[in-house]
Amino acid sequence: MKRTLVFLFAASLSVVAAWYRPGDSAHAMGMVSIKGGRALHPVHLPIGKDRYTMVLTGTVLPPYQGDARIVVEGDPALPYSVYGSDPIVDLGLRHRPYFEDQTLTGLQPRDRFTVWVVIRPPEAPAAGKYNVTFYDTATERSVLQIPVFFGAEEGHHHGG
Amino acid sequence: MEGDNGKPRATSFWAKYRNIILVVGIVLFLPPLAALVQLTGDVNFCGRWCPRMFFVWREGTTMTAFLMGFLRSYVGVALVALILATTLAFGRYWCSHLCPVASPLEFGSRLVPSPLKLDFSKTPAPSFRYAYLSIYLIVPAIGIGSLCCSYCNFAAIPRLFAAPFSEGDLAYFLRFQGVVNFGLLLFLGVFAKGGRAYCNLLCPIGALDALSNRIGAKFGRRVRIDLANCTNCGECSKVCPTWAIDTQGGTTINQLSCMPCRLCQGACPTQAIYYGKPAS
Repeated sequence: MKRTLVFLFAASLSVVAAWYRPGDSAHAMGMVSIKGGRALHPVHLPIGKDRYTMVLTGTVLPPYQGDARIVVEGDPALPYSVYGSDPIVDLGLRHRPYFEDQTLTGLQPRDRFTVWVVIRPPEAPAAGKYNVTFYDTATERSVLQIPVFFGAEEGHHHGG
Repeated sequence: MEGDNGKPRATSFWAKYRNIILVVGIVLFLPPLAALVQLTGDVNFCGRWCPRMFFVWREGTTMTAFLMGFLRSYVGVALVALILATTLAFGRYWCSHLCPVASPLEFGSRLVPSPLKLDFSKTPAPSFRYAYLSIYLIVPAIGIGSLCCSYCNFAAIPRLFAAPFSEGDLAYFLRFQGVVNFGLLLFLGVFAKGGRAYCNLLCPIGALDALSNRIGAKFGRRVRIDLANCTNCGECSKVCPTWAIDTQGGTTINQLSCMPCRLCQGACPTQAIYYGKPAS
């Protein structure tokens, strides 16, 4: 009897935990390429929050190489910050881009990267679409664009 | 009954050097070095190393996308396959000796004074664990939500180690889910007696590994009790971090929770506990 009750309690608690989304977090994945890149899954965020944190992980597809500046675009413009997530001690086992000043520097084919984007809207953003775009600094062409949808729907995005 | 290659039970390599092996796991998988993880160009368990997401079916997913998840997380897939296969034969050595997500919690728990520790041993762990695993698998398939990344120990622990050095990883904890995950690690890990309540209740890899442990118990090496020598004193159950030992009505080990940490072996005054194959 106790086991059954614990099972039901844990199942109920887990359903609530899975269903509830605070909306201040999301994970997106993408592939950088000279053809404009590809977002593997976009970000869906609920409106009404004062901060959103996204982790973006990605891979560089050959033959792209260069530096990519990361910007959040949309109307109205929202204040944001981008942080790198490099190894604390780089053992030099693989080539790795360097992150500084919102730019991934020295990207080479098959590199992997992780960056965090923190958006702090001064007031709740209206429903709509924004993009996290990676611009090649040499050509100013987009090499990856990850859509960020602000909407009323919760529980749809990928928590990161 | 067979022991560890004929060696005295209390001095087997895995029992004697467990703490060192746990530290090796941290060095291999967690910042600041994450030595093994860096071999693939990654910095943590997200992406190629993710061991938790690839086997979860999501609503609206196509078979192609599902299989692509296996390719995307190929290192995590290989890791989980290796863990489950070795567990069948040798028991849950990943959980007890190598898991970099569990060892910091266990080490942390050792630093907490006993009066402050929470005892979860009255909770029937398998019931809780498999309820959680069921929801973990079912809920994404019907589109209600997901537990995969939101409550991921394989994301939270590496970022906890990286947070003092990296603003990016610190950002993980400056949000609702980061705070919740941190709280769970403290509540079910550092402040739990034995430091393994999180592993025992909320880790999906641990849950799968426990199933493999149970299935392989009929032929594989496991921590077992020689009932001829057991006095049912209960010393073993006091030290078991996964509360797998029941002393009511004779001492038994639940292979659905046991991992070969061998703490019980060291605590047994009559050497009635051994690691080996089932008695024929």
